[in-house]
Amino acid sequence: MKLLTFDQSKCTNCGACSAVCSLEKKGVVQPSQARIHIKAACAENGEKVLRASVCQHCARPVCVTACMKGIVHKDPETGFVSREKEGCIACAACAVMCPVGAAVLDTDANAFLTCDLCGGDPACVKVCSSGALSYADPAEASAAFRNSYALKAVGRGLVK
Amino acid sequence: MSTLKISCGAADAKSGILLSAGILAGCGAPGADVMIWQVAGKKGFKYYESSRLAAAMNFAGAGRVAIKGKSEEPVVIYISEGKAVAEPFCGSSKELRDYYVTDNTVVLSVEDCGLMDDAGNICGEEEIAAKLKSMNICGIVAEGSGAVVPADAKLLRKTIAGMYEALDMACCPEIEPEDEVYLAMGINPKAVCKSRKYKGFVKKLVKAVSGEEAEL
Repeated sequence: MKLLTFDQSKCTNCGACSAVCSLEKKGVVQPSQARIHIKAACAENGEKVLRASVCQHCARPVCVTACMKGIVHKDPETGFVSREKEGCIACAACAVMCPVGAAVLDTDANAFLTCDLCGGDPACVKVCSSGALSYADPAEASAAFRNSYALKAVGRGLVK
Repeated sequence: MSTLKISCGAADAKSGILLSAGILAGCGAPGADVMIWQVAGKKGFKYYESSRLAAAMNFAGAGRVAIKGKSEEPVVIYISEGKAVAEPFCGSSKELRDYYVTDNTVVLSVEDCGLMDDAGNICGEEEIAAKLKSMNICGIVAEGSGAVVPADAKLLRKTIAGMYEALDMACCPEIEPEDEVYLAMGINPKAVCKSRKYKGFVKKLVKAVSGEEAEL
């Protein structure tokens, strides 16, 4: 299964992904309602890092077990985590439990929603000019990330 | 005595500052986050600077904010839900960011060297910072949890996707005088290289966002 992967070293925090996500899903540009958010955080060494808050379609999704209405499902074959808009009582259990803060309260539907990968053609990836977002197989993305990190480390003289 | 006056939707700001976000600011197109400052002086001059504040102002429903006069105590201009108010704030720039930064806010602090946004980008020169300091304004905050509602969402989606696909996104450092029309609309031509397609894309963006035909 392909997933959204995020390379923070390439991200410029331009906000295009959130803007286009809300445009795609709600027909208005409203980043606060987007299902992807780039958040700045402070690393242990004091450096500023960027993190993408977007559904990771976890292998063992806590949102599925947290939902008392049983409307969050994980497809056993594809691994895709989906949720029903109807039936959500906006209790926020999924949002509280999600380790990446991916669940967003849709104020029109009054339901918590997450990234549905736009049916396999994510709009955010198309507008990510820096290439920080990609829609790829996690194993391939991880290998590419490791390679790029190794190259950087060699360039910096961290690896001899 | 405080003489500070803040109004939204004003067309000019004699002896003051006009914070003006272009109609395309925040629409999601490349470079669509430009803040345009207009500072009225004896000769009348303008500043063009880039920050995420313009987009946040449009999301806050206040694309134009005029500020005149001087506050008695240090204040922050807080823009939210179509209104702009002066909130007393006494503290350092770090405290300002710590207090106001949320997922939906953009915070500009007035520093000696210029204006700095909460992402650490300098987005205003010493002169504008000095002008704001003289008015006793120590920061500008926009809480943008609202939306920019386009006239034609489908066209906007298509145009944005087309722009990102077709345009070379490398930075172009030079701003030429004719670029000011793009800046006024909220598009930073620095963010996109010059291209014959560019003008056509911006026309489509204006049509999609406002429903109006633009002549460029």
